Amino acid sequence: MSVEPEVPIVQVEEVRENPVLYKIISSDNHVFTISEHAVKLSKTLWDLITNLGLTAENALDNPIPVENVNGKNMETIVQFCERHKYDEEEPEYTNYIREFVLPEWDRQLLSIDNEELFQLILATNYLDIQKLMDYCCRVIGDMAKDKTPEELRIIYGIPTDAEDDALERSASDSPGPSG
Amino acid sequence: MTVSFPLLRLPAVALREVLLNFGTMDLLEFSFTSTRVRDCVFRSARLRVIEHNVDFLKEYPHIVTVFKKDDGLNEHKLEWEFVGGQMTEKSHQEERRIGCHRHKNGDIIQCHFHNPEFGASVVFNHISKIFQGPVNLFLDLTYIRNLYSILLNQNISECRKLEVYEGFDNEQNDEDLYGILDMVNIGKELKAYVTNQDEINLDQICHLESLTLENANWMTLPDLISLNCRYGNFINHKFGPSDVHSFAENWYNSTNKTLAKMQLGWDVDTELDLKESKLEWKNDPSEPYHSNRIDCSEGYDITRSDGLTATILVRDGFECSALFLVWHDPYPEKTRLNQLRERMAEEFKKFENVFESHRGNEKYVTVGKFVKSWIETKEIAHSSYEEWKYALDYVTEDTCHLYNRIVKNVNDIQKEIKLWESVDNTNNCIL
Repeated sequence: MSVEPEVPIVQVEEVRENPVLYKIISSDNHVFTISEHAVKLSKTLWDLITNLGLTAENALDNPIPVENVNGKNMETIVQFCERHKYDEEEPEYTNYIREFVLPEWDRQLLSIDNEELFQLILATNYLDIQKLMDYCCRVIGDMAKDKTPEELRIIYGIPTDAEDDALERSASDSPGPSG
Repeated sequence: MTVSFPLLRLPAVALREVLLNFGTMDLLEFSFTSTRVRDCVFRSARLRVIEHNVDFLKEYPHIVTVFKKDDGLNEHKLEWEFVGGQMTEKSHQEERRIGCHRHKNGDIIQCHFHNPEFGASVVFNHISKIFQGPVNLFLDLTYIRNLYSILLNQNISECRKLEVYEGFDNEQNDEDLYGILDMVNIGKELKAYVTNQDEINLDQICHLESLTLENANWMTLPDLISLNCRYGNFINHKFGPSDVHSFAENWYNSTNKTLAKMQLGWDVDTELDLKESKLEWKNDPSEPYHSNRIDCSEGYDITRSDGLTATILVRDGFECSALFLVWHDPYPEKTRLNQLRERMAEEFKKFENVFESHRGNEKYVTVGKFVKSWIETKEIAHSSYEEWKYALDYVTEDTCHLYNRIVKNVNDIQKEIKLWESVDNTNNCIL
């Protein structure tokens, strides 16, 4: 179904009464609030919430510390999860080639520099958010489109065989821990 | 200067996810960047493909890899052509290269090797390690020059299907099917259109699901009976009417549930008189049994004690043959239509679940109603302009993505239903 460009995008409204909210603290002590539907997208966080026995009544009084994720990445993650909390469940992936076009909103969210994207993937991997992982991987996969091996080597910082050999030699030449 | 993305520093799970999101050409290009990356792609990607068709049927080898996209419906192909000689130095603007091989439009990659057969073998080792799937091997003994060295490559000789042809110049072939079968491990299907072959070992073929032999003159009745194939087709053989009767009697007295079709090349002047059979064959043209474009109205049926019916008939015409057909599913169209209707009902259920879980939000409900009317009628064009406009005001990326997959699935199922419903429901259908 195509999207009519002139149709104004209406902000998603949470109309359910009293949604359950959770508090998350990032590694640099930023506090984020996230709804129950959104937090369920993270397998790690939802397992933690379940194991800690957090309920609607005590959720906000017990913030969840996430040591491995900084505030910047957590902000992106919370935005993503809130955006996709009502999405239809994705079918299990097969090992067949994956082809999908990233929605515009998500493409903009993930238009960040490569180092930030790398950190976001590590955070996503830790929090086990499959959909965000798929989308990040799509962004990285798209970087390779129609590129030659030489171009790919630059894009992904891949050493040549000669450089790999030199690295291996220098690693074997250097004295071990015992000196 | 832009900082590169440190792909190789990603955790193994994430790296694999990234590789699965590469396009097929891009993944190939990526595998050529360095030895370390190539090994990493071999280890991590393991992408499934529908099949590899490795073809030595013409002067130059040809490999086609067929991919299924993860929507499960669409396919695309990657083709490699292996030609002799050096690549010309002249560069062409419109050409791209994959590793050291070049391609123009689409997905056909041209590879230049002094020995194209050797090149095909080496390149296939690379392709099959990245893209994993069954191999269909096609050999024409007229063209192939290094048959046994090709078959030494296990990535090629472990195949699902083998087709062997001898072309028009069968006098020059020194290769024999026995030797080929000795080196090839076939999983499912053998088609051998080879005339000057001696006896082959029954152990090499008796497990195969589908078996077509141009020359089965060496085969005895006990050999024929001992086969465990689902589809058999023997063009030249020594079997006569009494062998066919014995074969039918053996099936009738057995519990064999594998056989679906046995086809024997038949001399149009040889009568297959069923009165000489010990079984009571019946002809009922009103029974609408049909088997993949075979008109069975002239056939004679027999039903075994377990309820399985078989039909025997001699089909004349250009390729005269005696057919023994077993009706595991006499009405495949109906079976498939029922399956599709069940799948459609599942999609309705999914839709209801999504619709119900968003009842509180007006815009989701409106789009939901629109989708519902679309699913039910599939006649959006008949909606009034007001209905359209009202619904479209609410169709945003936000709202319609909830139903995108359902709409797509319903559309696909509907298309297949129409296809099956259009199949001519007579006893002259396609198997």
